[in-house]
Amino acid sequence: MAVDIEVRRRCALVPAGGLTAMTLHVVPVSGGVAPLGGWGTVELRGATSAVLRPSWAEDVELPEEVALDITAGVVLLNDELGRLLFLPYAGDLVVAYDLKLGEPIYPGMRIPRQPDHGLRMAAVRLLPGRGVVYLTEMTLACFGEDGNLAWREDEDFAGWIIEGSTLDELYMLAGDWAGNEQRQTRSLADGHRLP
Amino acid sequence: MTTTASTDRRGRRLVLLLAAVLAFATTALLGATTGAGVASAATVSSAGSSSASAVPALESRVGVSPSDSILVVGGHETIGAGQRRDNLPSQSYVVSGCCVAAEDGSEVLLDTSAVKAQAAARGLMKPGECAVICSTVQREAAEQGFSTAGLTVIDDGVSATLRSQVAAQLRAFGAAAQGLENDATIGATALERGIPLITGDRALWQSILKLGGDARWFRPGV
Repeated sequence: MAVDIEVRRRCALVPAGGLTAMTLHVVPVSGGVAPLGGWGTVELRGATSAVLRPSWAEDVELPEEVALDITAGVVLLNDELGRLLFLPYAGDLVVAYDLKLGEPIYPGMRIPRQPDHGLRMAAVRLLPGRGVVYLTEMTLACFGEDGNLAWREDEDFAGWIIEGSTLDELYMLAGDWAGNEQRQTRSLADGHRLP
Repeated sequence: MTTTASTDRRGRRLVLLLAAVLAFATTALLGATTGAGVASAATVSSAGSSSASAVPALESRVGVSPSDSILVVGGHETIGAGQRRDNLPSQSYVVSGCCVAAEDGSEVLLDTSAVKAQAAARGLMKPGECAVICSTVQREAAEQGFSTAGLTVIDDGVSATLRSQVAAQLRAFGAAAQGLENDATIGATALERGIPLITGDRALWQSILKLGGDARWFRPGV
């Protein structure tokens, strides 16, 4: 209980007016289309087919793994920079695109996943001014506002959730149904666990 | 004259009678409205839970027995329009053990992923619900090394029809072959009992919804 209060106190210490404007935001996929504003659209053409249609470049066929998972995962857009980032729910491929050029920012990033698809989970937490934290059952990663990977930790994170964050730290929680709990704090600078 | 007087008396009686009827009707209407409000609240509070069990009308508040392990669990934040299909609880609930405000716990079935992801699963539980697992989940969890201590175990559903229906839906939603039979059993158990299923498996979630059941999925909240 005391630890929980401390987490809440720290999470409230983000100074008002001290945050950079959030430019990375979630793009909902609705009716088979993810609108990217002036940058174009992502369109689903079938269960295993999706295409990125940038306004200023040629169409890009998205990898099949992305198309399969795109309605479950999270599509993020940076309007100012024209960057698209896809974080999968059960898939194992993270992709990011430069919408000006219609090209990947970097080669698709493979992440380790549980062999049993039913045990795969993902959580995403937007960080004002920093980007986004991405947590799966086997990976904790942070991506900047430009969609580039800041850091990544591959460990057993099954059962963990993101409880909260401050400007510098990430608070995580796991527990069981007998009432036992564990907490850990991670540095948002490099993802390393803090004492 | 006599006729006029009796007419007057009849008229006055009629007026009095009408007034009495109006007064009674107004009272009855006000009472029914109040009752309907309570009923609606009870219905909303049980909307996501079992259709087979009714939420006690008297207990609509969140409460819990004192415990050293009380923890306030924060709610999920949803992604937004388009990707959102369920309404997730937005307020915090005080939880203890495997029940949320267990006054008269209605059951909610956890699949294996929900057993492991306890913190996330609790965020999907509503007041008055108690988490249970079926025998298949107990076995799967043991194979995976997940603890099921603190959870009540119920029997697997017996309906082969429901199992085959869930299996068919799982295949339609692209579920992997590995574990499909077990998932079908878990899903069928939830359907047979008429209780919600909490799962991290999107195909299983979609299958239960498609078959008219209640299911909640760990969407990647932002």
